[in-house]
Amino acid sequence: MTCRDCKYFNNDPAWLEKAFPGLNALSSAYGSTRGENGVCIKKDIYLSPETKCRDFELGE
Amino acid sequence: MEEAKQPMGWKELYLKEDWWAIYLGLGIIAAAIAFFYTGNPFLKSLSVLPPKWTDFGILTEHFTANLGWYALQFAFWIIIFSASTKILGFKQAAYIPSFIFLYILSIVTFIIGEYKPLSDNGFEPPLVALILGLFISNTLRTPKWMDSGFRVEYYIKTGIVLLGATLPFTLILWAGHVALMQATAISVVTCLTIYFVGTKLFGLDKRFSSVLGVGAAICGVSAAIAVGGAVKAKKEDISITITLVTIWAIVMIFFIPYTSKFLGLHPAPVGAWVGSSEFADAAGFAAAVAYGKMVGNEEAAVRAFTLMKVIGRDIWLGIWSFIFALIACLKWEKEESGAKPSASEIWWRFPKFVLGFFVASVIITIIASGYSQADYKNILTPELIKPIKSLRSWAFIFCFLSIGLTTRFRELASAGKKPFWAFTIGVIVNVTLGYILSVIVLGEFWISRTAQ
Repeated sequence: MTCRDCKYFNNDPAWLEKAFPGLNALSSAYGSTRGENGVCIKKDIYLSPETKCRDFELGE
Repeated sequence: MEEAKQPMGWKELYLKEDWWAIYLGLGIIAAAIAFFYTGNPFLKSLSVLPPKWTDFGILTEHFTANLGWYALQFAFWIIIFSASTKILGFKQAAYIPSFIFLYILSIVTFIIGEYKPLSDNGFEPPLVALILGLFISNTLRTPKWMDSGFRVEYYIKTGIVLLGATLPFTLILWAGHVALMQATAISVVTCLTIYFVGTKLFGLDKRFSSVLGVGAAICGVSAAIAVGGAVKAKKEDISITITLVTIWAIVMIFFIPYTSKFLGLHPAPVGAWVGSSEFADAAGFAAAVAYGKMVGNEEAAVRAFTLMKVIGRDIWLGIWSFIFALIACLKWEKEESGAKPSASEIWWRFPKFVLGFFVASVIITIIASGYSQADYKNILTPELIKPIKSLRSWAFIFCFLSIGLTTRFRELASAGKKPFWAFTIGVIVNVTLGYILSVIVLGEFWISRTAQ
């Protein structure tokens, strides 16, 4: 399992556009280039869902 | 035992706006072709635009005569955008009222921007849209929920697909490689400048410096959120990059067109310059269209800009992202972090709307090949190309207004001096190099190529 399955990982586009003010002014969280990147709310880093770390906790 | 979640994969065909931009853009082009061959003037009437005016009577007469067509056009836009954004996950209770506001504001923008004494002094609709949007969002303060209708990227991507129908594919073949070489040279120099200035001179983190670098070098915020994930940037670093890209992109929307006007430059090299040195498609189109309109040759500026930005820079984002993911994984990682970067990411991060742009260009080029130059000008241009171009103008105005309406300076993250100067030094290098290559070295090339 990777960050995609972790409870600390969030890559919902609507949430990302709120988490990054100004993101939707010249770009979009709904575009292809973002892929499925998202934010780890435990470590406050922005990363790919294919990564994983020791703090992994299974999400819903 | 729980099963691992699956990647989005081909679900992006309906979950990413790039694909919807393709469906809408190519759908409009297919309809335009069908109406053209059946001799039906419906789309021509539907694509109505406010005219240039000096006397208020002209305006009243125009709107009285075309009120029904404006109502139909509004219905057309809201149906296609509302249906597609619903599938993308937007709440229609927010999207619909917001789009109604955007459409009305677009008409107001055209009316102001087409007022001849204003447009003669450089206040063309793209700049009016931007100024109006910035004024509203930073003084009157539109509620946040309205952002759901101000979809900058969705509108510009739809506009770019429509733009494909006005750009001969032969031009892409003849000039695309030059655009690629010029854009790559400038991108690499800009990115490396910011990276080394950031890490060596200001002591910034290498991940942060790389995100700042690609933000200025490739395609602004989109590059930052692609590469930021590949290198595992801090969330704060992405926010700061967004701030710097946004501020400099807006400065450049005004700086490049007005400087070019002052220098009396031809719109083709200026389009190439904007394509090399603007940070985002939306901002770049605003600058290129504005300058093209200022000097009465929009197509030359837009063609050169598109070649440089879309062909020269945007389509390579996946490769940049993959390279940075490899560097981060092989050189920077200290702990096991999951799968090694896969080359398939190059495809998944590819800005798919560009495919629609290519297809549109090929289709219209094939159709045009059956016409003589005179017939192209007298038949194809007014009956087939013009309605597509007018609808493209609407998509662009929705986008330019949305840039202003979503840029709330007070909400942007504070950047700090070091990132600001690292980025700014990169901007100075980028703009200077862009000017030298686009105007001095390759100026004649862009003029001759875009005149085809």
